[in-house]
Amino acid sequence: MNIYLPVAHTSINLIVMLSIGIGIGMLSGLFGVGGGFLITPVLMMFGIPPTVAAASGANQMVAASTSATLTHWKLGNVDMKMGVYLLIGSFLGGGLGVQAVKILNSMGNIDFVIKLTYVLLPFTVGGLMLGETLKKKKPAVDHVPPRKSAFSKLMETLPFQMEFVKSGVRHSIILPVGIGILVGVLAAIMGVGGGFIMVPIMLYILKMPMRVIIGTSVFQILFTVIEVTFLQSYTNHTVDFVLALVMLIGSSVGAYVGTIFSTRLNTEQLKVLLALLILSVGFKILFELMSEPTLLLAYSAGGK
Amino acid sequence: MMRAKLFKTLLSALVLLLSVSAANAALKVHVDKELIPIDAFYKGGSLTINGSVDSNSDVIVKITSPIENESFMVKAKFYHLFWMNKDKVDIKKVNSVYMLYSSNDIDRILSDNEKSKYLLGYDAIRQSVGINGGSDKDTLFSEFIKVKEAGKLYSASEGNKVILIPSTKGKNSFWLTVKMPYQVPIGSYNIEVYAVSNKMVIEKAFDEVKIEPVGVVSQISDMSMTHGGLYGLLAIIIALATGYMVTPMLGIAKKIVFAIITAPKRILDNIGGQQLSAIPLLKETNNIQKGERNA
Repeated sequence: MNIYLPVAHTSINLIVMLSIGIGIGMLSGLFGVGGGFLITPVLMMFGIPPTVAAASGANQMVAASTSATLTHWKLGNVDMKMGVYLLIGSFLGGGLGVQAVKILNSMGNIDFVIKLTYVLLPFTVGGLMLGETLKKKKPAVDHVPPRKSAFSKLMETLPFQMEFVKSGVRHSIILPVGIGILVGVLAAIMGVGGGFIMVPIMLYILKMPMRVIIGTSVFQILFTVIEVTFLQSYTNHTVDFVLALVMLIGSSVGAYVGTIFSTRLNTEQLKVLLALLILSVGFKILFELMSEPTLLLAYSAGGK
Repeated sequence: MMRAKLFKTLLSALVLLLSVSAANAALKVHVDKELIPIDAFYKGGSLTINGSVDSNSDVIVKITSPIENESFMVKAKFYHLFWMNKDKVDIKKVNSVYMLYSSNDIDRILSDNEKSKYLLGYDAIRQSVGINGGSDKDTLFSEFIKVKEAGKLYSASEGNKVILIPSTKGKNSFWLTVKMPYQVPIGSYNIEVYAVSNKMVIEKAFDEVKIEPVGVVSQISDMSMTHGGLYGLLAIIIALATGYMVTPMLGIAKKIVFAIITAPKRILDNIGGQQLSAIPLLKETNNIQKGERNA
């Protein structure tokens, strides 16, 4: 059974799209990531224009992160103070990102930029995750107390230092605001909530405890994707909420099943699998960018 | 009185002339629909074009969108590494959609002059369009055709797509079913039917078909373009509501699935329980019967 997407102006097979949603939801349930970074490239593979895929992916993330935020809020896992500063940054970043999409779209290279970010970020994040997991497997030679890195020392010299009680850390507010801007820009360009970037940043740079990281990350992601959805609708008219609805129904069911399975699997194995998955997405898009396209012409934005 | 008689005579002559000319019009065309509606389950539409033509004529059918200018980006290798859009090319005076069908091989039934005159075939289009930008115009045009064919917006059949059926009184019936893929955009399309004989177009007829969204598709599509802010808010509210409801709903679904899976076991347990509870009753009845016999 096919359904017609009123904004993407394309017809899709409902069963196929629901199955993709379930598949992506299962992966996100298994690995604890939002799945946004998987949805956009998969939709592009099925002929959805990259701008519509990214904007509708952000809309789908609104539903996914609402459910997750409510659960973590009830468990008391959200650091509101940190979340608000991250939000200020991501709101600024989201606005910048949407404008960047508009400019790049008019220049005719938005598809290239979206694909390139899908190469660079998965390689960075996937590589880091794989490296960390493999490093942990090596036996520790001796117990030397960790030394502060140059980056940590630099961060301590920044003004507006503040105590974040719930996370038990002290940082300059410039740091979460800056990280928020980065995530906001990526959310607009890639159609992702930014969880797969935010979680490692909170863990390795903000040094927050894992319990609070996930809750604060989904809280901040919820508001970022709300902003991006609104701005993409208002500025670029690229949100197809029919597509988003189909994907979120599938991914909700898949995420539920994935969460059940995740409790029965080894965490370290899951991390390696996730890193490999992220890297494979990056490799696939890199291959596409480097091999000669079958069509040497592409429609220019507003090409008529 | 004389004037009235003269007027009557002229009128009858005009009616006669019109009826004779209609009878002489060898090409008659009928298109089965004026509108292909895009509804929520649209996956492309179909169009049937039929009619009659002189028995010694072939038929060519051309479906096109109005002529316009289109812009494209030429992909080129960036620093010998990545393929990306580089130079802009404008293709002027071109149809964004072009579909050509015929009852025979066009090159065999029509002269080059006639093909150019009526824009029938890719070679004729190449001669009529203007290409601004890029150096090798012929390669650009062949890439343009590739893009259009890949998007299912251009097709030029090799012939025999229009079926000719011999009929009576020196006439042939013709029949063509056209699949309009979902990729064909919303708009108005011209249908031109040509009767061809001795490598010349001898007659032509026109019609029109529209592809338009209807119902909910039309409302959503219009709203996203004209009221982007309101559309965005609605998209967010729907997603928030779905996200809010999804966990409790999945919880309920889990209970239902669990109930269905465990139903046979529970039924068996109940039957077993009833049988077990029936055993003391049987024992009691047996004891009464034994007591009655002893008495």
